[in-house]
Amino acid sequence: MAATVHAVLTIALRDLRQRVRDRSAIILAVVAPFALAYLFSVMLPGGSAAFHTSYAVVDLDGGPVARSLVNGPLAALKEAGVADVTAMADEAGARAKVEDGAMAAAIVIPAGFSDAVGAGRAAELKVIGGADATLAAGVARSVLKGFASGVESVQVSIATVLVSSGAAPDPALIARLSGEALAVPDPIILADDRTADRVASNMTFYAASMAVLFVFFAAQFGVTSLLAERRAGTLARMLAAPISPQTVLAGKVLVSIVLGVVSMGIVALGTSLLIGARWGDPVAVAALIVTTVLAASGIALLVVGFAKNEDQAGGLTAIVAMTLAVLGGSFFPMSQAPEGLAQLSLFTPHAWFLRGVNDLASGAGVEAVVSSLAVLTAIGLGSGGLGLLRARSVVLAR
Amino acid sequence: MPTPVLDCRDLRKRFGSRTAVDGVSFSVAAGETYGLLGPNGAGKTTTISMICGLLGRDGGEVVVDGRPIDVGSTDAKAAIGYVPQDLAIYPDLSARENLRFFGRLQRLSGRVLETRVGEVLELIALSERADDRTSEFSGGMKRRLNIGIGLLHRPRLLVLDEPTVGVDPQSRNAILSSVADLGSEGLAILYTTHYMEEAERLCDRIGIIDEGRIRAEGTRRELVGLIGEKDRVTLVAGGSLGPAARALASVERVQEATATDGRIELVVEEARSLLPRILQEAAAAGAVVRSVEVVEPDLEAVFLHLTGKALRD
Repeated sequence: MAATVHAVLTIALRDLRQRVRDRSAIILAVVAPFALAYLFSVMLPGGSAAFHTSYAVVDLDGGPVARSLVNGPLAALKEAGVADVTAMADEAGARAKVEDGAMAAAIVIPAGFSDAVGAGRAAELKVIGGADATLAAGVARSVLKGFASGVESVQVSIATVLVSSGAAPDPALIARLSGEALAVPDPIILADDRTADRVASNMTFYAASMAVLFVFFAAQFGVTSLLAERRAGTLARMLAAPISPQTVLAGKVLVSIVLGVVSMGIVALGTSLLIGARWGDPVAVAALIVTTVLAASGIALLVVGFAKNEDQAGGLTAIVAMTLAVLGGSFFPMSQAPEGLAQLSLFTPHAWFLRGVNDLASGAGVEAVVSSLAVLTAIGLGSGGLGLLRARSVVLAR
Repeated sequence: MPTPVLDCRDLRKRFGSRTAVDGVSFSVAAGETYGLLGPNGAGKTTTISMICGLLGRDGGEVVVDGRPIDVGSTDAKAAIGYVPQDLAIYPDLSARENLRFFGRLQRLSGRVLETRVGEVLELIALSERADDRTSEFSGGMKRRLNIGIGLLHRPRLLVLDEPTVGVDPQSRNAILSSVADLGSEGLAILYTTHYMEEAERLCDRIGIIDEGRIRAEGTRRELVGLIGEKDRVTLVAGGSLGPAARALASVERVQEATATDGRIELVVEEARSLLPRILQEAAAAGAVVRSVEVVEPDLEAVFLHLTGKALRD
């Protein structure tokens, strides 16, 4: 047993020494993820940051229904911190503000809006959306649709009352009553009591996503060297020594694990110290890193088992790593992904790692990432087990 | 016969429908150099791979130093020093680092390892370049290191798989001399080659292998004897050539002796051992010998006879 451990360490140390001397490995395992995490977090909009926008409101009507819109839903947006709402005098000025990007969208209430509502005529509200602010314009339209729906309900109610009392429909009266009715607080309030948001800061998200993306490249160095050594003949020479094929495999897998842990560890530590990422509980983060590296090493070993040479293995690893990264949410938060993709992402180690980091970044402890740890370990053992079976044939192939 | 260091019995290996090794059996004793002589693709490397436990076999048995060897064997492989045909060394490491690495895999450590590394560096004449990266070495230096690694742990059996392929004549000569020295020190050596001259020069016994089968086995003399060819000796001489030829014809193991045009042509058995007697008899009969040429039947002819094709096909 001691001889086997000694041989495993001898093989691993030789490979690690080679990797330290090989600067490309250091660049790929440490420098690239760190640099890209920084660039992405600076250049891309904060995918997980709270939504905030700005609206110009032009009230050309001034009637009771218009006032209820301005003082009701639009004021609520401002109070909720969702939007800055600025009153403007005319549509042209508001449009200019939108066009030059000072405002995300403008909401125009035309003159005669309240009267039209009172008369039961079609009443128009206008949303002028900025070219780069489709989301803000969409939010404004949703708010106005909700308001219009409320107005319609009130109109129907008032008309019903007036008709049943035998009074003639008076547009001015209906408009005033509509405005008063719409100003009354909703009798039913929807309580939004979600579970804690799984949201990390922009910096933390990209630090974690780049770390998990590049750990696949770091982990491949250990196991793909099996193919390089087979080509060079040094693998046969190792196997002619009093060691088993499993010992050689163990040495190579150990290299993958060490490189992966060092890569992710340095990225986590570096982004915490230098660019303000907040990963959370260090013990839980360490556990997440180790299990993620286990998964990456297992998948890398499986890929090697299907490759004929180290170049092919490198290409296959890149394809697998990028595909899993895209599906797993390394390039955008899964909270913004369609439901189907979010479900699909659960088959990737990336999603479980990022899910764990988001939980930890939100202040949760290790208990919050137990499911991530379990799934990552299962992926590592499953793919690694299959990989070992395939890689054994690589070791023994002549 | 002493217990052989290597004993192979009925080794068999197939790759799909192709039979690479088909019932190969031979043994190598301590101090003996055994050559597996055959063309490329004859099954030499496959045989060696099974002997070293690098390749599973479909049949047969390999025993090294009294212990059976298979792919899963570990301890038993410690008796083997394997020198692959490829330069199985790490170019990013120095000669010393390469030796240390493979020495550790051979379970050497500490002072024993360092001492042995120094000895091997001395043996392969690389002490002065011990700490240079092997990527800076010449082909011959790499070949010497390749062999040195196989000797590091003092194996009982040294297996050399075509160690001179692609080597310049000077390095080749040095390698052959080293192998001859190792054989004389009591090491059992299994040497594969497709160079007839190497097998003739180095090997005590030779197995001629073709298409996965040992076609014939024995000493060089025994193999040549299989095809019944004799040595030819030409004496370039002056003086009384006719009487000299008649005198030589009566010498034991001289089968023919004819005098023609300043020469005496002889057909003899084992010319090298008989040569002093031939020269003595020629001089006594009045011939003045100016030069001697001996042509012995070689393994090329044996191989051609046994397989119907040339060794270098």
